[in-house]
Amino acid sequence: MEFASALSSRDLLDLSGFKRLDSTTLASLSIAPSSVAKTHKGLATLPVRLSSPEPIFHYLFVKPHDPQYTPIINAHPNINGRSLFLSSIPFDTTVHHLRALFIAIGGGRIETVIFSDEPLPSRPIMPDEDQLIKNRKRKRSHHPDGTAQTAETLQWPPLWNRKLHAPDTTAVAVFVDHAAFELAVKAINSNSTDNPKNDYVWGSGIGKGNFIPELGKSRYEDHHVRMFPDPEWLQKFADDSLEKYDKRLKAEEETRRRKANEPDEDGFVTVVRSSRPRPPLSAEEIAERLKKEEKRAKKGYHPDFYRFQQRELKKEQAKKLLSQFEDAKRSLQERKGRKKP
Amino acid sequence: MSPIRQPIPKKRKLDESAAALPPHYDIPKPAALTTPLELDPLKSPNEAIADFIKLQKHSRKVVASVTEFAEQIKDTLSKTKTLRFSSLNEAEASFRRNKIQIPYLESTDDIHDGQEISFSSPIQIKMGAGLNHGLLLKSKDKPPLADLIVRIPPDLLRPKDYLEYRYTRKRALYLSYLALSLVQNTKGGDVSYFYEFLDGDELRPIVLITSLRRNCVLRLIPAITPNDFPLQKLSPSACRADRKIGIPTPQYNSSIIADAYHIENAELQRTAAISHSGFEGGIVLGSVWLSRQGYSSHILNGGFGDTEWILIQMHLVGAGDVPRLSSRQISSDPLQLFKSVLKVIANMGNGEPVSQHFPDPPGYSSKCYPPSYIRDGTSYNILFKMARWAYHALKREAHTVLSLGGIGISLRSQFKSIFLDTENRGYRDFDFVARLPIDNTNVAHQIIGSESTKRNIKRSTSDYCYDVLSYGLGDRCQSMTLFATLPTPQAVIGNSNGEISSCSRYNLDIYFLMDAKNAMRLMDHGPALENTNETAKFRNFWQDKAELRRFKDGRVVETVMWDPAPSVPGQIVNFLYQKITGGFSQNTPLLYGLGFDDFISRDLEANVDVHFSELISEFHMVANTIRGVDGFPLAFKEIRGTCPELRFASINPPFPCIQYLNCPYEAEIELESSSGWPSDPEQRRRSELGLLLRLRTVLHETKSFISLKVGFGHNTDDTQGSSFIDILTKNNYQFRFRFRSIQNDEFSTNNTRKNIHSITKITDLTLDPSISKSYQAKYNHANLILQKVKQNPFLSSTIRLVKIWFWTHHLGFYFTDEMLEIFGLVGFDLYSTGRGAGSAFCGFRRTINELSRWDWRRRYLEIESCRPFSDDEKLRLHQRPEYCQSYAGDSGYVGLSVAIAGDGGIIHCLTQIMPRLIAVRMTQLAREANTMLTNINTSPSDIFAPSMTYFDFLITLKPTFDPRKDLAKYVNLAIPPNRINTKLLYRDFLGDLEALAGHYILFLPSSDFSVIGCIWKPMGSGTGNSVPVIDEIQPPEKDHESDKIELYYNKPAILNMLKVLGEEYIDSIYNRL
Repeated sequence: MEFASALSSRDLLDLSGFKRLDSTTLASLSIAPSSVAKTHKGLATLPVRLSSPEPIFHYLFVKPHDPQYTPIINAHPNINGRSLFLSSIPFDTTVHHLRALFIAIGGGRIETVIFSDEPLPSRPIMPDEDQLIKNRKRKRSHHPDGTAQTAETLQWPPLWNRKLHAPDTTAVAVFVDHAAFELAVKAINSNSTDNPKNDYVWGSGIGKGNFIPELGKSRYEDHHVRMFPDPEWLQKFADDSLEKYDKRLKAEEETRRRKANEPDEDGFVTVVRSSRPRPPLSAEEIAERLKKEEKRAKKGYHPDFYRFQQRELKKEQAKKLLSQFEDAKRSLQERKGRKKP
Repeated sequence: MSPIRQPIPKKRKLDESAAALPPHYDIPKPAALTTPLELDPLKSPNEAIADFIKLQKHSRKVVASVTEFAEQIKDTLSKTKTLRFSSLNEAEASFRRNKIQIPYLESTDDIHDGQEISFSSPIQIKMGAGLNHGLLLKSKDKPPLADLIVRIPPDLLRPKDYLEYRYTRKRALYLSYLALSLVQNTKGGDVSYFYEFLDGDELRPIVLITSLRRNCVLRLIPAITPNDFPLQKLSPSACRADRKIGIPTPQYNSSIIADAYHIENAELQRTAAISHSGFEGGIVLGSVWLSRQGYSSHILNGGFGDTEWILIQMHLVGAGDVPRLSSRQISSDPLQLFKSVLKVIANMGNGEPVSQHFPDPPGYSSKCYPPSYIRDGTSYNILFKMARWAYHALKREAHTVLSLGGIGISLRSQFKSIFLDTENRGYRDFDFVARLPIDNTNVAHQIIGSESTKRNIKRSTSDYCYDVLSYGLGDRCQSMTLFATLPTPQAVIGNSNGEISSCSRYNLDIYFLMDAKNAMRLMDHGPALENTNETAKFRNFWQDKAELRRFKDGRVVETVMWDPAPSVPGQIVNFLYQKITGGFSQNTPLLYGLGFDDFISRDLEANVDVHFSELISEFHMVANTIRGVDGFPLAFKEIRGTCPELRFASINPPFPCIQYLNCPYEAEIELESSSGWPSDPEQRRRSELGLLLRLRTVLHETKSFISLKVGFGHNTDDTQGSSFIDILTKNNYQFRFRFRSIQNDEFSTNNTRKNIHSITKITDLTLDPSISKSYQAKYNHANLILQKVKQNPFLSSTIRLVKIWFWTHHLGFYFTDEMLEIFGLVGFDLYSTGRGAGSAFCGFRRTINELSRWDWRRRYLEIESCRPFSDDEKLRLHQRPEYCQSYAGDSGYVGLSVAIAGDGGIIHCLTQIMPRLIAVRMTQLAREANTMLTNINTSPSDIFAPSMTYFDFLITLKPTFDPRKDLAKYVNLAIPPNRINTKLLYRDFLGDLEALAGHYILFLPSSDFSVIGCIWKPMGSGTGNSVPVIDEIQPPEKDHESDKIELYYNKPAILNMLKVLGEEYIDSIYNRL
């Protein structure tokens, strides 16, 4: 037996005390909708049968959406009265799944679905709102830390062909209009756990035009292919990103320089780094410098360490002696000159 | 069971919660960890040591009870009636009629059998050493033991009796006389009598008197005094007691001399204990230390025990008229006295006499065995029983202990490392054990000619085995300790014929401490061809194994060559065993410990390190090529490997990936002027991508590689991932280079997992902030491991064993490679164990032992492989780790913190966050494994066999492709993109499982992810253990405004999700019945 296979524990797998999970066992674990309450804590229960040979049910909990959550309102200003809040959504939920579900149970048409684990689109700014922001002096709202710009740049290509949802993900289904929403609420009530005829299978009824990538093996193989995009495309992506970054840096620099000279509406000038001379040193700084110099002096300086230094030193000494000799000669001549008359 | 042994008290289970393992949901709290022995931090070290010593002694009440019992026996003995016999044979027959059986050595000389003999009551009965000054030492699972020394009346023995074997016969008969008197005169049925031999010496039987009521044992030892006979005549080399053989009988002579000093030694010990304050403490410490090492005065346990220790100690302090051994003043501190005795042991036979008072006796050399330690003016060598192996092993142990207490190490640390750590460890340290089945009939002809073949045959066999093994193993072995099964005491009253019965078949256990550097050497060099005598000896010893070889330098020498596999020491021991038994034995020795080495290199080429070295040299080639490229805008500061394969620490040795995209070997590049990077992380990532693309272009121009691919993904903390370049070399090794990012300085993460448990935080615990600031070196794990691997050849295999253990028990997923490698370093802590591990088994065992005792809730795991921690640092490390505090709530996560003593006063701290269940499971499994490792019959597969019953259900994936199996099928070509090792895909699948079902299920995969053990996590109060019913399905109460969404269990739906997600991967799911 090879060592690596010993580690895999597959060959030595001791399955005593275990039983293969077959359809019957799984079905025996399943909870029939009839045993689940129709509502819980104000949310209606909507059973959906999962696509498996065994009758396995998943339970969605639904209620009319009360849009108090500000970012949602900002992103979707007009969803009041036509949105439905869903929790415990299956991990593979897409907008197509929910559309197909509500069509199957007789609900209205869904315009869009907002998932809690997906970023909200940026809010469209109205002309009057722009004025409002100025009045409120929200001067630094644009790019306080530079992240605002990055959103404008090119997005990285996705590494996965399909987004899957963690168990704590919720969704808000936005219907085309209020009437559709009303229809959906009615459909939920009539197809809740007390309706034995509800046999909608999750994922059925999605149109062929709405392509949803498969799960399983192909998902992970596709992921590995996506990790290595086409080199040319990748080069272009990097070039574009860096070009934009350069432009942004230049623009920032220009803005900074401009602001350094222009007072704003209140008369303040933004203080930025400039090429002006530094203010005079404080007493402590001077003391520190002096200390450093003293240390350096103590450490010692050897002017005659190298041969060239010695040569230069000798030259200087010779020069000095020569100049002294010249001086002495001159002064002697001067004295002699004084004595002569 | 021996009649004198008390029933062994029931031991508390190491982990009772682990023994009766409840369903895992019922273990919300960590398992009860046993508290290790610690010195009281509030007391001074001396006070704490005094407390420790006190704990080792029996109470005054016990001593009083034993003394009272001894007085009773004394009274009985003093009233013994005189018996007269016309001959020794008649006396013997008389005792036999009374069913008294005490064996003795048969005299070879029957001339004097006809002499009259008269037995009278002892003229002197003395309390033995220890009891006479109120010191009785506690012994594990044994009742208090004391000596009662009776002086044989001098008129019983004639001068010639000492010089012939009649002394032992008369001594035994006198003992029979005393035993008869005791049997006849003792009242009450709680006293019983047994005989055994004093310290296993078959020349000197003694009687054991046990009292069930008092729960104590008295040894009745017959003795003489030095004045009864001129002991100088019994010089070890001069006297020939056995006239027929005519060779010296030092053992016989020394036995008589030892008998002559019993009474005097006991009195001297009492005087020393009274006059010297630290004397008793020194005895206690010495006794504890010796018993932990397994030594005792018994000749089968080394022949060096409490008695010998005390005698050396008496010489050191100069008790009575015994001259003081050292001219310096001996400290009254017990620990110092203990160390002084150790120094004497360590310097035994080092070429200098132990003292000027003790010159070498004739025939003894102080440079080698046997050690001479002679009482001044006598021929009494107090170490006469010491075995050769014990002499070498004890010297080594003494050196080790003295090195633990070097300069600069505090008293507290010294005491802790010498006594408490070994006690807490609770096992004998060895590299491997050989259990040799010995049949005396096979071995006897090998040792014929020795006078000792007649008696103490087990001891002679042990000595012979030691001689053969020590010669055969040479410098591979540092020391050996040999233990044979001790004979059990026999009842005095019986019907045997009085002959010494010796067991002819038994097992001899030999514990080896190997030299790490030489242990695995394949070739042994013998003498040169010119040296004919030595060559003949060598050939005679190794026989067919010896080969004459000519080397490049022209030398022609005898050599012995061993196969690379199985383990070299195992081959040698097997060969030598056949030599010991003369080739008659059909048995094979059991080798415990070496199987672990074979386990990790099974079916691979013997020298696994070659594979690692090939990869590392390939990596250096790639790194040099990168450094040498032209046209790259920045300079390279450092290029280093980060994957375990590049530091000899991966489970499987690396192999080239031919035709398949295997897991690439990760490495990182650090660039100069990294301060110029954009501060925005997103922009930094894009800049890195740009630089990698540039690197690819310039590397492509060198034409040194098969393929260069730039990709991105698998990052630590974001969805988009960091960029990397994959380089496939012409030798088919694939490397993945990333730029070193800022996060790597603080967080080391496993790049496939994004959950909290995969984070390892590296912090700095250094006490002195100035050191921390000035010392710029960051913790560099790869360098540390590489450095240590070079220092010790067994570190690599130890780390691999540790990793295998974690992965086979499905725990490895929750530990980073760094953490597991640091666990492997535990076995190489030079400052607490005294020596690095000499086998993979030894290192692995030390790690498992440390993990089983590690209370991760309260303290750091201390790694002292570079330097020891100071007292202040240790105090700090015994506080609750920082991360444990943050995760101490009911979050279900705990932090396991490891502190590494770094150079320059730095302490690096690594903390790994993981589910509490995993940490508890680790401790439970370590305790189970630690218990199993104490059993010599445990095979490696027992240790590494996973217990599946722990899991609620199992997911088995389809078998993974192993590129090593079909190497021949593939040609050296570039990797097509669709051929990916399934292990890589399974890792991504597991990542999805963690993200989507990790809230409900704990996934514990095997190393290749082909079997995933799953445990349902407990949800709320009592809802997690069953299929949810109507009331248990709780809908969420809040919408987006809430941070937390209340989830519910719908097991069938979750299982269905697993099936959908793992379509074409999942083979089957098994549910626990």
